[in-house]
Amino acid sequence: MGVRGDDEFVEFAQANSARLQRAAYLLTGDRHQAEDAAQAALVRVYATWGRVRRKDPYAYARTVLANLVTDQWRRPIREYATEELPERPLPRDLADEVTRRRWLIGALQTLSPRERTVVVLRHFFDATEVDVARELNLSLGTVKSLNSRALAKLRVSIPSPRRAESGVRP
Amino acid sequence: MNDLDDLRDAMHSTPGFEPKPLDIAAVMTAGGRLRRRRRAAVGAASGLTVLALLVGGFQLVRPEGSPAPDVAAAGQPSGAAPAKTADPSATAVEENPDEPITSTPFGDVVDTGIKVGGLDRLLWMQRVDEPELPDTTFGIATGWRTTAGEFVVDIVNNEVEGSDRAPGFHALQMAMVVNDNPTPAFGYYVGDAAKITVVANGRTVRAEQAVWSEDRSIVLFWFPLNKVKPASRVGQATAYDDNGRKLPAGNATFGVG
Repeated sequence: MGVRGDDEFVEFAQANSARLQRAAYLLTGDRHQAEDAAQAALVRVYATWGRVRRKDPYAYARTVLANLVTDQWRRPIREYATEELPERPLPRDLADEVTRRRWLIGALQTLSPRERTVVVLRHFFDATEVDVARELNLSLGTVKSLNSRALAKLRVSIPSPRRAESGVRP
Repeated sequence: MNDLDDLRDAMHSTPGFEPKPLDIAAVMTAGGRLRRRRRAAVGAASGLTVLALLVGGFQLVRPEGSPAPDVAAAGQPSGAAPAKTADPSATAVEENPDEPITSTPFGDVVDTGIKVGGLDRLLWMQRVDEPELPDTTFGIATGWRTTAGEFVVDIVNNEVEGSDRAPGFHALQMAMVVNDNPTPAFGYYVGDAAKITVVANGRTVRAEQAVWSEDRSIVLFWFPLNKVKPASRVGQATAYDDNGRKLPAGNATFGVG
């Protein structure tokens, strides 16, 4: 790896390590595992930097991270999946914003690993369903189904014009 | 703002979690180590057919944008596995080696007499110490020497089935393109081979040979680049003794490992 390539990687890592850690935290629910997973993903990105630097290193890092964490689940190190969600805190128009965010992150950890991974890739990384399917090696239909089921579990409704106009949130 | 926006907002703010600065230098050290391990694994790829190795090896070093090799053009004499058995995962080697890998030769270095990019194309043996390959202690490498005297490896190959000193051909490697420069087809033979030939694109081509300094019963060989070119159709590797009699092919008609 040349000096220029290294410089580019440092720039890339500095620009994206926080986001990768945050995604890893969403996927694992553990701050230490999140740091480890983000670091491990960057190690793999650097190992292939010569190949990916001219393509889409961010997408590659995202894929590596998701699969790293998924592999850990397969072993499994940690399993959060449960059908029981924590009680929704308060009617949303009264809920404190931070309390609601905290509830959503807690609820995320109740999803199955695959549901959670799809939600993170789709709604944190803003990856398209097609990209999520390719990166997780799933069918598009499975991704749509996992996403829909996960959002239902999270009691997240798909936005609609009527709801958008309702102005329920202060 | 709707529910989905709330979810996205929550995921991006993650209350209770603040990312820490990562040790980028440690990342690069570990990443560099991983890259070198993966490259080394190419030479020691186990359980793969020669063809898979060749396809994988080519993709290891194939510069971006250069055409993929014609699988049918890779040498495939009797005994070699058909192309369809090549495991696509064998092509998953991820490197584009812009970082030189250096090697310590085991025994004398052989100058093939081929010059590429102004550099002498060299052949040498190097030690192999892989727990998964207890019967392999050395492999064969091609590369060049830097002005500082370091030996830079372009391709390394070694036996992966049986002993590295079993009579016959070993580690026979197709001519390839590495970082835009061609490398000759090469390999080694265990036995008193006075002459080694292959058939390349229908014509019989005789190898250049050199006896290994560490074991006189082992011959390093290579083929002129103008006669066995990258992507040539190559096969029927044959060794002959002083009297023109065929010697055992061993477990590798066109290279196992």
